[in-house]
Amino acid sequence: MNTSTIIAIAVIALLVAAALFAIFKRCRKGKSCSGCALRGYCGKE
Amino acid sequence: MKLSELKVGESAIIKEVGGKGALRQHFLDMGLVQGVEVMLLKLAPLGDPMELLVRGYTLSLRLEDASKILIVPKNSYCREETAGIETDFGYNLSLHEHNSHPGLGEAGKYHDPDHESPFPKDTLLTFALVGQQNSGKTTLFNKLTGANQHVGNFPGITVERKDGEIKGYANTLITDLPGIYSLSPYTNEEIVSRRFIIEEKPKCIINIVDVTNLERNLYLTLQLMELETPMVLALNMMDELTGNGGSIRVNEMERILGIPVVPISAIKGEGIRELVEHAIHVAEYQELPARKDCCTKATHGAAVHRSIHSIMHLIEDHAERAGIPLRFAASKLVEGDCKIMEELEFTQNEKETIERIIVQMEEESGMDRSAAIADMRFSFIECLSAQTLIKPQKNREYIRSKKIDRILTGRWTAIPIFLTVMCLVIWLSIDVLGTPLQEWLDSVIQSLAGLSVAGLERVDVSPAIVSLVKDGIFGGVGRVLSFVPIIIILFFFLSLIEDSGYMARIAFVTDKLLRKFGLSGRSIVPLLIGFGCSVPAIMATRTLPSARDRKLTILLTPFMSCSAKIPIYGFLTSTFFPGHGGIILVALYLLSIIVGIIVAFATKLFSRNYVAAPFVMELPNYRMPGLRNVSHLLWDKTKDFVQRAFTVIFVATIVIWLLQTFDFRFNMVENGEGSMMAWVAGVFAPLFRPLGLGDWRIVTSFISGFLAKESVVATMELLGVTESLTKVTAVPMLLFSLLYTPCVAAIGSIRRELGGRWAVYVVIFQCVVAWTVSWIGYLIAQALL
Repeated sequence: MNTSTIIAIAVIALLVAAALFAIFKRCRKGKSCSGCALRGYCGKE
Repeated sequence: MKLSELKVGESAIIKEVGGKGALRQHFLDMGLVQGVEVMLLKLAPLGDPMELLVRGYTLSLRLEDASKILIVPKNSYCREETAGIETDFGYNLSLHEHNSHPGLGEAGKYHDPDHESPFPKDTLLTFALVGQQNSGKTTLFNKLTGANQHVGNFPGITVERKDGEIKGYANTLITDLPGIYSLSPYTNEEIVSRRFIIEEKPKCIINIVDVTNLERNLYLTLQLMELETPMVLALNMMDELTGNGGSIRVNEMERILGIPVVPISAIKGEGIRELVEHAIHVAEYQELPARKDCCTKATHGAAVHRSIHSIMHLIEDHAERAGIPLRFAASKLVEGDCKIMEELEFTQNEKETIERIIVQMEEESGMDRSAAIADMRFSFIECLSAQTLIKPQKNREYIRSKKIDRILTGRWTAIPIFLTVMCLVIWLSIDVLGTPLQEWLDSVIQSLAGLSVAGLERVDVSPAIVSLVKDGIFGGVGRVLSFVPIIIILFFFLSLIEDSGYMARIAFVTDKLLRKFGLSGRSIVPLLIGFGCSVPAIMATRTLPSARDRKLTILLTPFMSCSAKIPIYGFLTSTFFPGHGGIILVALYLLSIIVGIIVAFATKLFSRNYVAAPFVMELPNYRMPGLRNVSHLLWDKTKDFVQRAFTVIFVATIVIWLLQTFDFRFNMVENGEGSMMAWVAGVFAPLFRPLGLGDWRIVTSFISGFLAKESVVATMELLGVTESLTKVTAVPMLLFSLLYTPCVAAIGSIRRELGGRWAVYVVIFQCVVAWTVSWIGYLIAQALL
């Protein structure tokens, strides 16, 4: 495996990590846990 | 006589409000109380619902609901006159002239420097922005905080709690609560709003009222004043009232209500500074409303007044223990609020005593408990209005709306205009504007993909990584991103429909038809958008007030064939049914609607204790959509979509690419054969054998369609699926593609709106329905072709 491939994999891994972090953050904020029409009120925040 | 029997153009007086529970309370909260005049303006083109004029605003109501309200002719009703309002609050306002400014919520007038104790300067001052639906709360919130929250001319736009700092005032936090008509415990929003005020204890309530509809708006104000929280009243849309020749004696109103009253125009930004200064002052000094009582001794022989005050004495200790404002607790008990009853933890003896007091009040007043409380509040409001409101001679906005409505909701014109508008929206969004822009953006993304791939190959990056970037990231995320123009254009038109006030009319016109399928009139808009793209359609269901309607609409939306499926139909019809593409496409669209209707019917039949959500909706005046507001909405939607493309869809594409490109030993495979995906497809293949679609390549195409429907055709071409299809098997292939699970973006939206469990349920449910319909189609095709 050459250096360019390692760098490319590292960049993609970073992007995936950032995406997963963003998804996790949104979930924790309660933006994706609805069920009721009033997001943020459900106590999951 | 029932209200439902009233003839168009006729007026009558409400004699009795029947019904029970949430619907009845909603009637009362909307101002439909004994003695009020109602006029039937028109019936919807299909004969139901009806449009009424009540207390100067228009309200739509189903005939079935209206049949619960009894009316009498105007000349045969004699209403008990209510006395004037007492204005002795314990502070000396009589020193001031009748029309002088009372100066509540202002520095210097009522403060004794030796005893005042304002909060320390660094205290966080919290504000709750409360008002009825469509009163301009979000417009005011945006003005106060500089935020860009979407505002609409449709009741119930705010469905999320929003917080922000007031511009220029550090240590302030204002919360925009959903629009509510009262503090009755019958809707989620009402329970949540009152719990927010009682439990979170904001330092001040900013109550915004629409002065063009003052009587109904003040109903909430009176309930808020019972909460023993400092409060400021913002009289919004004053420009509209004065523009029509009306006015409000602000000083008189402030004197009677005992809270600071500030006239504003949220949309023009007038009076905002004054409002903020008053709000901060009352919050800092914790100045409580001078009036809590609105029960006049002269009404119904003071029956309601006596019952409330005797209960107040009885429950004082309980209210204190439970942390519920006393007056609020007492009036809610009289109203029959079970939640408050539970929270106050009475003994059996106390419960019986309270019940006896209320029964006595009912006997004396001649009204039941809920009606008596609503009547008490509206009697006070009528007196207040008589003393402070100079009604406009004509309401230009109302007259203009009625003129427009003659055509847009006319008996013969409403349905054709509605169909034309919706077809135009879909045609312009998808065909005329959306697709060319989408293709252009797609070509830009593909050029970028080409450049990136060339760059990676130049620096000798592994072919596997190049494939990931090309097929995975650009093929997946890039393809989904290319749909941004369609989303923006669809939302642009949707925003125009919503902001102008036409959305409420669409619900009004189509309610009767949709109710037959167990839906509400409000469901029509998301369903129509679903023909363009399921993602904005699912997002558009947020405006539905009933959780059941919302869930059912979300369940049905993916059945409406989205534009991304068109290439699949085109590819299969041109290969197997050349020359019949048009008729097959029309048949597929019709079938998707029919399946949706059957599913809705079945849900209605199998729902235990199904009760249609009441359709009691205010029809707002038409307004010109604001450019700023529309652009804010478009920006929000685009940001949201792009964020999702780079998070959920990005991760999903990489996972699917990995499964498609490698075998279980992580060796790269050619054309997907032997890949993990092929293995997975092989596992599912037996399920498709009864449909004649047991080839793993066909199953792989379906699986790739889960990522994005556009990739079905690409996969079919890549794997040479047409070789394994015949004219007969093309039929179930078309049907399964039409009805099976929506793409990952739509599933993500469902997950966001209803939660993960529902998203999984929708996927499984749609696959089962698609399989069943395809199987029937396969049997028919075998017999006919």
